[in-house]
Amino acid sequence: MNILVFNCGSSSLNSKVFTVQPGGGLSVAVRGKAHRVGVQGSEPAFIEHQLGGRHDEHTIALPDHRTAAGLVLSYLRDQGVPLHAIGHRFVHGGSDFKQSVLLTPDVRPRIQQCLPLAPIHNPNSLSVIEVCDRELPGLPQYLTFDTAFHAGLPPESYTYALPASLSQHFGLRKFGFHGLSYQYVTQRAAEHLGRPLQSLKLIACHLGTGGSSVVAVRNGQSLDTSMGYSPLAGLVMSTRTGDLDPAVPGYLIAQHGYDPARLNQLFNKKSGLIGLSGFSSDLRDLVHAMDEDNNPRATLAFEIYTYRLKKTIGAFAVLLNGIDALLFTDDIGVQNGRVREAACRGLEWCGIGIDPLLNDQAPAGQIFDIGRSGWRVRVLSIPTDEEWVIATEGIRLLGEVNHAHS
Amino acid sequence: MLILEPNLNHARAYRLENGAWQTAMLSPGPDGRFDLASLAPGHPPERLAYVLAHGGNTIHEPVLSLDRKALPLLQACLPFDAAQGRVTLALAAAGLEQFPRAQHYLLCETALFKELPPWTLEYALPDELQSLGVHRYGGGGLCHEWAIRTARPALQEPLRVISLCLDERPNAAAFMGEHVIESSFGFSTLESIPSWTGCGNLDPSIPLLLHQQEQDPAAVEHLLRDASGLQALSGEPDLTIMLRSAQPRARLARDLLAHHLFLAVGACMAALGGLDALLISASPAEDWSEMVQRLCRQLEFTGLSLRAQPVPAGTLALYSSPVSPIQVAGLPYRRPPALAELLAWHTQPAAPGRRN
Repeated sequence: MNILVFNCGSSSLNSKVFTVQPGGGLSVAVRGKAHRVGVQGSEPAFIEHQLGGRHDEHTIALPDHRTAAGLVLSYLRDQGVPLHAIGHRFVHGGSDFKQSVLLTPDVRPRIQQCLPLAPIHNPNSLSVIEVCDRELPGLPQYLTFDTAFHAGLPPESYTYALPASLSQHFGLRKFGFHGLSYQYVTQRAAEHLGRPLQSLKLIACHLGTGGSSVVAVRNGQSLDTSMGYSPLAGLVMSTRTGDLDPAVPGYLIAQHGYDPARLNQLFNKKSGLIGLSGFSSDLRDLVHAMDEDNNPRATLAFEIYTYRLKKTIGAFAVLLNGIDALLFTDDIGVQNGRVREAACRGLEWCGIGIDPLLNDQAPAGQIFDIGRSGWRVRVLSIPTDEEWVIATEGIRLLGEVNHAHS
Repeated sequence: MLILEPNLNHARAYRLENGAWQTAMLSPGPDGRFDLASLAPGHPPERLAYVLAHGGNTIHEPVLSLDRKALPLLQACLPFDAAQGRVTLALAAAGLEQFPRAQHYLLCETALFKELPPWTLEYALPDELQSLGVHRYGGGGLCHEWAIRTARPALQEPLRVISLCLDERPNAAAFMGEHVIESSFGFSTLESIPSWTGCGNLDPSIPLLLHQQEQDPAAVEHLLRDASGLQALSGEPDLTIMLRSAQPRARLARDLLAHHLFLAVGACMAALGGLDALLISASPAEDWSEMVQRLCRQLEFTGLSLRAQPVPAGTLALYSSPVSPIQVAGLPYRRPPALAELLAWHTQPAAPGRRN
């Protein structure tokens, strides 16, 4: 059986075709990525495919995710790759979707309700679904949700201290994100540590080139996470501000005449690393400017980024009453030893210490211990694989359907 | 002595009479003016102090001698906390007018935090917004300064200290030696731990959503500052009842409060690189004992251990055992005498040998 997985980013579209092996294992038959989708800039958009040992790359206009998905399906059709199901990542499932679901007629109107909850991601995912409907009618499709991992947050964690009527009216609660990534890395970490996930207290840091968050996990359950009602809250991100005093928007509106839409744009697109540095949202550029030019703004942006990360790790360590392992994942998490080192400096009190040599040597493509030998907390650099989680969720869902029909 | 501080649109007045502090609530008249003379008929106070919640970028001293010429300084702070700032301004104007022969002082809650390190100070915002004064100012500095000054002589040379103020606005401040390096409060006292009526941490998209729905920014500010928090969650009439109530809503409010206390203390510990002493100024202490015990249990993984019974050490109560790597001490925090002591420390020459 082959499962095609689509993973929509805000300006990218990852795709993988997983083949389910006779023993139940998964192998990747085809992988692809569309870059700079919907981005207008000096760099051109392009799409790449990898099948067996062959790698194709085409510079092509990618005005939207619909176009990119159509190109992926055309490529697979041209290459004669059979498909049996399609899985989609849906970033925000709201309060409605607490686990993965098959895309049945009753689900479709419900996902429409979730579109405004993640305006950068959810409509893109829906547009990819619509392309699949058109190109491959009748093929089973299913949805996985980044928010589902956090569905079991305890009330003291997901509740905002607002009047209940207001929270109910607007559906205000902490949802949390990056759940597919957390599901993957916590399972992998447990296997690596040789302990059941249900016995572990973990902090996982998903540090992406776009969004970043941290989760506290106790016995496999999300106990708290840095993102909230939306992906704007929590850590400093590439263009997002992260946490901000709730009085700030009112001050800017009342005293300086801003309107909420403008602030929304500034907080989401012009803040974070780009706001602090004034020249780049890419942490690699900041590190380069620190090293090569001794750029003070880049240095301060890096310090604020890592300080806020460190504070969140410390906060979650107390919340968990101590931890067994600290995980770093996604692009920055596995590729940037400087960030890991800075974030862990001064966390010895919770048993966290990084071995500088191991931290420098950590390969981005595999799980790797970077903690000091003999210390209480294991520190792991661990690549994530959201598409793998989406594929396994599909196998489970389709297995349930087959079981029900047999 | 008369100490005045804003309380929503009203004021709390603390007056020392026959060696005991009396508290009265004071409302402005129809013209917005406060009648302070009615508080002490026939006995004009020699000293008056006015608490300013937010000193903005203008007031940098915790205690400032005040005269009419200084009122524009207060005016300049209003944009940062208009609701409370206006009350302080009205109180100060009334005091200066009604008691022209008295000494007048401003007590500023944010001044202690004027030298926060830049990585603590700044939000991740573009220059356009930072230039408008959007950064972290801290808050509750009067309680923390009093706690640190009071506790130091009784503690073993602590380098890294968290001062936890537990009252209607619970908050934490982290001290590295003499320097404060972190506060749970931010631009305002809304950030971080929910207070009795304030919302605490929110996803920044939530206030934006509320401002999009509601045209009047003051209405949103009132909602977040005065109609949210532990009171809105619990539905209880006061904090003491909420802290003891068996009602499910009160339990949720307590769990949420404990959750945020754990996060705030953990964040401060990360900022300090560890912890030598935790100072707890709870008001009233007996209401907060369960919360303090929860917090200490949560820190057991650091090696923190408690005594079976607290022991007195000067004015403190030592909760931690002699072998605990973290000293935990409770302070008998009562707001009026604490503010009076602070005023005295700042306005009188230090006694020989006294550590200020």
